[in-house]
Amino acid sequence: MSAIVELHGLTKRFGTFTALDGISLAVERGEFLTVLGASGSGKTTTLRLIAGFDLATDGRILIEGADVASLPPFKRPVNTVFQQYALFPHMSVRENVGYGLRMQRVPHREIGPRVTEALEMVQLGPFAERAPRQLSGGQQQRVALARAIVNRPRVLLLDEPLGALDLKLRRAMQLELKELQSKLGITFIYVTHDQEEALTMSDRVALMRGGRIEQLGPPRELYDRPRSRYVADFIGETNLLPAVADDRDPGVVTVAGPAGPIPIRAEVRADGVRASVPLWLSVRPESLAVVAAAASPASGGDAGNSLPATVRDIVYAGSVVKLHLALADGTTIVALRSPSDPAFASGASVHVRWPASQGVLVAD
Amino acid sequence: MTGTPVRATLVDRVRTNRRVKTLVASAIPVTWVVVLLLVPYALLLIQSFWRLRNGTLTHELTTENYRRLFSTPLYPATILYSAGVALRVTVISLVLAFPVAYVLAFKVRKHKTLLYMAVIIPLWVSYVVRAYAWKIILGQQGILNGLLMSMGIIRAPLTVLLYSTAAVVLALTHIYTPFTLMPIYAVLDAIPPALKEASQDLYANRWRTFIHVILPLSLPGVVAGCTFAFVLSMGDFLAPQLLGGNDSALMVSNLVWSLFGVAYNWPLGAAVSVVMLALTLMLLWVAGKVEARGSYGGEARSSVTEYAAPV
Amino acid sequence: MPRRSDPLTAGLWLTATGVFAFIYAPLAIVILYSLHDSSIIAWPLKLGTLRWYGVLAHDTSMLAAAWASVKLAVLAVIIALAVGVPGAFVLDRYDFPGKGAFRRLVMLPLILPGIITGVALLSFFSFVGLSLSSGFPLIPGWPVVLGHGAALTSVVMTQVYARLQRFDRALEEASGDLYANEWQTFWRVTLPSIRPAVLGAALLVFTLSLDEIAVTFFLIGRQNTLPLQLWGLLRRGITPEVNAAATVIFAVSLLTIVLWSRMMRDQN
Repeated sequence: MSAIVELHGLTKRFGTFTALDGISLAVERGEFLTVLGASGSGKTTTLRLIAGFDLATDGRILIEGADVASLPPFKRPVNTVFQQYALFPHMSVRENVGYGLRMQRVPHREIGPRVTEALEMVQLGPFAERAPRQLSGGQQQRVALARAIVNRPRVLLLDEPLGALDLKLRRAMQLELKELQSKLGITFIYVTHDQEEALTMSDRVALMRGGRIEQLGPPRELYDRPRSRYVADFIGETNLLPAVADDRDPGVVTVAGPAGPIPIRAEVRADGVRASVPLWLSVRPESLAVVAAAASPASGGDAGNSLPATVRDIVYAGSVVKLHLALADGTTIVALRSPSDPAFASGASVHVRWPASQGVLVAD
Repeated sequence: MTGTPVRATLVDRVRTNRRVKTLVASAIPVTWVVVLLLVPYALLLIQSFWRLRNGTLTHELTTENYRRLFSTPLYPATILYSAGVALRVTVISLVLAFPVAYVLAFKVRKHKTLLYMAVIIPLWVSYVVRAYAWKIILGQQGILNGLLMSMGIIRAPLTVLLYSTAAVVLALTHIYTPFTLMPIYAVLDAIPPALKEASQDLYANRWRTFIHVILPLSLPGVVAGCTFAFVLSMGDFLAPQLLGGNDSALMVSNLVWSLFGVAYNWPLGAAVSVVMLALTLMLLWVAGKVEARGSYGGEARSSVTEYAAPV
Repeated sequence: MPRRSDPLTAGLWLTATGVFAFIYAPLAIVILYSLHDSSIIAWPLKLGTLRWYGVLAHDTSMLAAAWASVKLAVLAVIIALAVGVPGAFVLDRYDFPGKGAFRRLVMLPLILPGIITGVALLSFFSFVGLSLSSGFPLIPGWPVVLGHGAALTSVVMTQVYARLQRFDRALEEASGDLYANEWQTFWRVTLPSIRPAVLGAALLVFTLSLDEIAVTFFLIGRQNTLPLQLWGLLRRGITPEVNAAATVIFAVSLLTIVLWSRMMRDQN
């Protein structure tokens, strides 16, 4: 598989503000790549540079090996699905979808069937003659999608297309988009701030922060092996316990306990972890087991880790019960239990346990 | 507040009775508008059917005013002439206004509001001043002639500049171009930048984006601007009087002026006014229809559609 | 959108600047010639005197006309606000039979040539028997005052109505929830919120009234307003004093409009 889009040292500055700081990225042909990040992280800027709506300050953009930096949008073989859909209000759905084909001077008799085909693909066949304002948000979004894919672009750029939809609709559309992408085989570059969306849909995720790529890899990798505290915190829910490295044993760190530091085995370490920097142990709530303090010995026993804690809050969330626990130093952590497990009372003393392989040591 | 039993008083019941509230609230404005707008315009209409007997106004009903209006060549000719002037003014001011509106809406980043204000301000500055300015510029001893002569372009002063239709058209264009610009700018400015980007994303270059996206979306503003420019220049009386010369460039409003003034024929003047009123209303109605058809359910609604809208 | 300099954009800018110059050149000429050192307005321009302003300052009939214009404008503003603001509320909040017709009627003076409104009002006052000179000694005359009010109420109504449409009713509901009655809510919540629009409309009415000719001509009594005075001068023959007067009017209008735009900006 070859790279269909390559970014080399791409930089974008607006006056004194650096939106993109020399990022490099290779997008594989046919993959679903999500560029994830908070607002201001540079994800939308990246997309706009690839599409051609803004010009890079420095660096190169290659699409299928060709340098497109000096090409205007209408000469690039990519299409965009806009956040607010950007449907032309003075044209019908059919005219909207056929716009790109008309501009490419596709023969007239070919346009009709292709438009119909694209509309069928997004299940909007009967709406061809409507005006955009007569459609719901979800329908408009699908028109925007059809309008882009009808041109059979090499790469499809999607700028937070599901942001304006409500939760249920968004979940449904996520699945539809993923299916569509597999069926058509088009490379998708998808921008979002919703990490759950990124995890669900992507082949790879590029998490951006402050104009740089914090981590790039399959969703599993970002979740299980975060490379920094930022990634651990951004992706999914996690507990971050301040930890201090033990000089004597590299596999051990200490975490504050009620009567002094408690040794914790940490087998997985991210890059950048050194004794000299602040460290955190990232443990996902689902990895924690909670037992009553009275019922078990203080140590972890089977090479697992154990910490004493007090139950603060019990939150019922349908499929799980979330236990909010306070550690000796006041840090709050969250553990998950099934609703059918015996319940704990608020204020109960417990031990939280997890296997050494489940915690990741991270630095900033 | 708490603990005391809650009871509805008469005032409360009036408050919640929507119909009574409507009555009370709308009493003053509606009465005012009816008395000082509806009645005068209606009176004008009625007056156009009154007879003038020996120079005295009577309340006898007759259609002779309208008969005279349509049979005497002067009146239809003047109306047509005024429409012709208005048409020329409208076209020229559209040609002038559109580029400025476009530049302001799309090409200016900083000080956009300031520049827009700068273009609009002349509209509110004394109308007399602006019409008069052309008088001193275009006159035989005027500034333009003086300038051209001192530059050696002409030997003798041009007499055709002032007291001609051209002068009237020029002055009216000068006065109404900002007027045409306002709605066009408003509509252009309201076009989301994403639409331009989407068009380019779909392989349309800048010119084609303009033709297929920007221009159609600008139409409501264009229609509104042109309609107002047309209606107002057709009904203008100051410019023709100052710059038009004694008889050659008389427009409809000058006729009404003299009929209500020196010529003292109020019923006839009223008839001419009614015809003007009817023409104006018809124009607005047509403009509203044109706009509605062209926008395909688009969002921009200018004042013309507001005016012609059903509610 | 990356900005590229190219012939098309350059051409656009050139045209725009040209039109701009076209709009301002005549005004600039009037202002320059108010400083013209000769009693004949002709080319070339000889800058360097303020005497025409002096002549203006001593022209008692012009000053009287100016004063009458100001009084008239103030009265017009008062009437327009008193009728227009409630009218805007009625349009925004209530439905009644004939509302559509009412709305169109209100907009007529803005759209019709002023002369039609002028002769309509003249016919009305003549029919009703209200003499053009009637009124208190200080007031220019009832017909012209009422006429300006009638013609300019529409300005206030449309401006305030537009603002009301954007007003968040939840604020009023919150006020009611906190035990304020309608009057208190209006005074303390609604009015402050729409104040910039009201003041802006008032300024606009003031300027338009100062400049009004068509309606004024037919309804005025013995005392001229400023534009009519100017116009009379123009018909008799032009002296540079007119340029000075025109410049002063321009400056005052400019000031008013700058104030108005400040007000509009505050609102946003």
